[in-house]
Amino acid sequence: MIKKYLFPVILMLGLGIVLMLLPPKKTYEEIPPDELLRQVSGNSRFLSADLVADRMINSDPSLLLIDVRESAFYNEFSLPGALNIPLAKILEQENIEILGQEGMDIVFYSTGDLLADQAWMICKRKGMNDIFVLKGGLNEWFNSFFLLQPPLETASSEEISLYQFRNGVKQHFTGGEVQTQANPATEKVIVAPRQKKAAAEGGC
Amino acid sequence: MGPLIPNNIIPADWNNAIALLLGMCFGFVLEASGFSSSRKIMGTFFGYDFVVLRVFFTAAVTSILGILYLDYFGWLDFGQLYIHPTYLTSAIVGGVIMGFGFALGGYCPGTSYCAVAIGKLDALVYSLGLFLGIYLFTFVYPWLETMFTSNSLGNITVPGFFSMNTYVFVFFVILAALGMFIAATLVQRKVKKVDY
Repeated sequence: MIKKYLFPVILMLGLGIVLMLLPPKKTYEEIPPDELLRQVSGNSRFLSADLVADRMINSDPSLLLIDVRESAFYNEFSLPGALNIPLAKILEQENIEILGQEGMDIVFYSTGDLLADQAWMICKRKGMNDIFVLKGGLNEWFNSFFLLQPPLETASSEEISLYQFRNGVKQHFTGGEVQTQANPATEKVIVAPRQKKAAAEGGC
Repeated sequence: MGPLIPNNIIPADWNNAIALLLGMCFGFVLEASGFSSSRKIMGTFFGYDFVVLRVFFTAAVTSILGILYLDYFGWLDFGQLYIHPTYLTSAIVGGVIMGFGFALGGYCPGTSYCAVAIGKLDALVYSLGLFLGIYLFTFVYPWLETMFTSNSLGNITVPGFFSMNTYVFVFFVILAALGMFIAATLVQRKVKKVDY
């Protein structure tokens, strides 16, 4: 009975003792510098305004927008559904809890993308994942959706569909008038019966 | 599933398949250890069978040793593991309720499904009660919310809370487990054998 358990007991104790005697592991509180460099030099942290708008319109529940500007700016104008965490307060415990939520894609934005990128860097150093930056910030957002220029008639179909998408986004957020371009393919063609020629009457 | 998926050894699509497989293995081991018998589980409270204590502490020690060694050799990042936040009040209140139900029904939630799988009727009633309890809880939650979220300690661990070395703490857990195994054997010898 006792013999049967001798080996597992020795194994358990042995592994536990070895663990204590091992030389201490080099640990980083934050992300290691080389990993940070790799992530900073990549562009994968930037999400385009189009992509974010698409997710907002589709009410993506995993999207969480964070406005890192000062509260005064936030109160003046902010993106729908965004939370305000000014950069200076980003390391407060309650804010870390918000940003550290599992399964959420956190998107930082500011007027440009400088402040948001700083917030991204701080949170990355804090070891957070699934954090992104809105590329170009609110300026880019405004340029993309509100200073929208209709494409030239010679524009490619991609440019036209991008224009239509952005126009749709503008209407979604502003409730503006619908300005759809009539699509020739779906327009109903009314075939008017040809008028019978009136018989010539007298004349020359 | 770490360390295979984060290291790109297998694609992330395997997550659910592996979860299913592990779940089946877990259920099999629970059944094979006799956890689908409420009488065997009740043995812990009456002192005639300590299989629950033995299995759970062996599992805990095995997994903590596995995680710490994988972490030490860099195959798994201990810091990336999700640590459930501790709400002290609700942990105590919930523990009392859970223990009461455990002693009353002879199952914990996991083992009750195990027993349902082999066709035990009492386990079926037990798991239906579980769902009923969850359903009713949603209605009383607004009244319980303050108590539920009070004394939040965040995502803490025992060695983190007492700021001691994790490895030393684990060694004490191993010693405690072995001590409990010995104590359980001694108690079991004293208590009258129950036929079940």
